[in-house]
Amino acid sequence: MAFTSLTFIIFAAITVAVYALLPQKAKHIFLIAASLVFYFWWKAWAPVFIIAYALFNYFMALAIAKSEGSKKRILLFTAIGASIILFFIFRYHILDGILSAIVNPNGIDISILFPLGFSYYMFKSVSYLIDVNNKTFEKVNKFDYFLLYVVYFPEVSMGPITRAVDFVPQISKEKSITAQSINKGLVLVAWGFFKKIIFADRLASLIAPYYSDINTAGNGSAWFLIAAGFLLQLYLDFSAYTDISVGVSKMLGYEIKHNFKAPFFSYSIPEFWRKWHISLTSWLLDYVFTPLQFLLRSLGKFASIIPAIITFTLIGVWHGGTSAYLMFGFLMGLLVAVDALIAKSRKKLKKKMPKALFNTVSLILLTIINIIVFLFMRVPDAQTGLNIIVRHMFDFGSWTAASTLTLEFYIVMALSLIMTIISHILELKTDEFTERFIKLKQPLLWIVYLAVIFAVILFGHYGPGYDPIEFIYMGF
Amino acid sequence: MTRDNVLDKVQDILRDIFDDENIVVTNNTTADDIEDWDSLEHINVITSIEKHFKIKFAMNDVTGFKNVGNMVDTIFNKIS
Repeated sequence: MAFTSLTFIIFAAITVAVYALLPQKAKHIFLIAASLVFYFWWKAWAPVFIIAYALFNYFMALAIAKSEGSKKRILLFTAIGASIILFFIFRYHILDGILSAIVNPNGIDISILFPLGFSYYMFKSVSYLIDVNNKTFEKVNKFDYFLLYVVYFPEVSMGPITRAVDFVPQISKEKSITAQSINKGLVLVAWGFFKKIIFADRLASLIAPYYSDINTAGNGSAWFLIAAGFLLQLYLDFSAYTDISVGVSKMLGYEIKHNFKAPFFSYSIPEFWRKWHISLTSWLLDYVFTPLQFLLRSLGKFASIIPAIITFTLIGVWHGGTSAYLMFGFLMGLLVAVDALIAKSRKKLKKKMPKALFNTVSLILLTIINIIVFLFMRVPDAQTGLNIIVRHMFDFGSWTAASTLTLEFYIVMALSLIMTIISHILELKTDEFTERFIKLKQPLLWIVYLAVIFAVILFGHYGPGYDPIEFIYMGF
Repeated sequence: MTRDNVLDKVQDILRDIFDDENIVVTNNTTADDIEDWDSLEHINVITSIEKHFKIKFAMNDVTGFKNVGNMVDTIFNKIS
């Protein structure tokens, strides 16, 4: 059930209402049940899988906490290895051929489905195991608590990848669900719907035809704008999802960290990645990049360059098994590595140049890099991406040719850019904004909510057959 | 060498790495307080400290650092 579907609105409304009325002791049990229903909605077998996966990690963590020395290490590697193997079986379909041959040699091909959200709750579970191993977080002694952490419905399909250390201690805390806390969450949910249905989905359908036949858009600036359109769509889509996730959590009395903190207001690639899909990048920073960098620290500059390329290539691989994702990750890693190499000269230049000029140039350069590299997140394979860049986008002779893009495209792009800027400003001051919002008088609050509902109904963009268009990151 | 000496020396090392004589560190200083102290520079801080105090950190030491105070404690324990 997509967050922007009517089914989800009804499901979330009932869940929050019942949850608010239940006594404290029953709240988390009910939340587990609701989350399992949410996961069941995707596929009937899914709850069985996620409970089994949670059980495995729960007991592995208990065993790791009890052991010492090499036994402890073996247990940790076994537990993490199991997750990685599962990930590769699901994502790269490595067992499909063998299974098809064994189960029905003459029949239809078997394809093992990627369990919804597995890449997100796998990371949650793995970081928990490592934290228990490193004694930076005490093992969870109640299976119901750990299960809720894994299956928690506002996060299960697309993150954020909240750490156990931030989530589990909140479970036992007294939750008072008041009109104020509901409003704080609801305004974020409304904001997410607004961004997703009116802007992200409209942008999506406007740019889709160009990507399905890359020769229709014309060359030069047109492709640059289409690629920029995808970057805006990706941000508006995923940040809207996170707004809804954080908003629903607030209504349930949970505080989870947002995935975005004004990423396009950055002056370097590493800074951008500290503000973009924060829960994923901070996870990889803590559990992949930093340990690798530490192990390689005698290699001088390579101590940062090698881990940067590995980490970003992993980001690519994590998104999917295509050459385009691999290219996306590898290019980003390479750019971060270059950034590390020129960091000192850049710092010197920064001191010599007027601050405003330096920042403006950096911001423009970063935006151009992002528009080009993120293109690989949209195309089916690396070859298509390279074709668009080399043959079309960099065909500078055509930059001044009459545009093949429609007026609607320009209007939607301009409005989406304005939305992105507003969204960035709000991300920097979310708490201040929600605090002010809930202090508005009750009738005024309702006017805002009704305005959003009408805007979404009137100006929203709906998929074929009124199916809500799924969020991009649901596929990862 | 006292613990305070270690803190002073760490301050010198940070001033040197970040090329800023105005950096003042306390036990509560974190990487967020120093503008250029990001994940890429962090390893330079670690290796410079290892080199200067002639010590070797373990992975667990480094992941456990919450602030400069933690780091100074670990260095002080290793040299005394």
